[in-house]
Amino acid sequence: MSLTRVLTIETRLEELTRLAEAVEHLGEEDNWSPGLVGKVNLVLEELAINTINHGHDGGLHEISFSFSTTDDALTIEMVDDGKPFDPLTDAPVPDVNAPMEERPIGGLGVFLVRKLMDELTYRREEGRNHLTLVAYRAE
Amino acid sequence: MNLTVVNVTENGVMVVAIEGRVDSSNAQKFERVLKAVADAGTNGIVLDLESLLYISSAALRVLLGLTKAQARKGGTLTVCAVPDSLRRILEVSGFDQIIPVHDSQAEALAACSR
Repeated sequence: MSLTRVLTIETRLEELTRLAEAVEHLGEEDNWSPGLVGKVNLVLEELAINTINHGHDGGLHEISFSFSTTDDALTIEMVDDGKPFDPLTDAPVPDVNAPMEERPIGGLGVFLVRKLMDELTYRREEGRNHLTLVAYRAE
Repeated sequence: MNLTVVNVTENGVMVVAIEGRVDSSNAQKFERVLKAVADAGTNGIVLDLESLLYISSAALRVLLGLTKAQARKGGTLTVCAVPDSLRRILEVSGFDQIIPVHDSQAEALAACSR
């Protein structure tokens, strides 16, 4: 089965509910496994929060998500006009094997994005961040 | 999100079932409720995740904070009945190395009483 959908949200935290609902609706429509729905939900929430909280110096902006799926994989392209941010290189890597006492609270979001997605590519184009995320259907 | 204390054992272990979604919009409430449970003086907390639909990193942060607070006072925090949709998230975040994960409530309670 394959489908293509586009969702645009504003850079307000209240919009995250709409994003999550859209992901769950798509998952149902396109028969995603519960694991895939959980992963995509978490990853998009983390990325959207980053852009909402740190992407701009004020004002209301838009973030768009284009979803396309094939039998094997789900591809999402996230586009925003925030400050340049490449999650592959611009975020620290937490030590997830560190003992509890040494684990900082926080710093986990982008790391989870990198770990949970199967492919991640970033490009900056015409003042916009374009992040392409691929998740395979097979776990 | 709904948190319910479903069981308190004779040796003071509290089992809390979490239903629904814990995301950035309600992570603070989640933290307040769990902190109230921890402050109630319980030695062990078992979180039953069977009906938890979604967890964000904001919620994982709360769990990490609670684990640290429990450890400081000599208590424990364990989780049980983790749905398949959340298992991978606990694994890649390394949380399954920090918080003991059990298949069922009974197993978690048995581990607490050891």
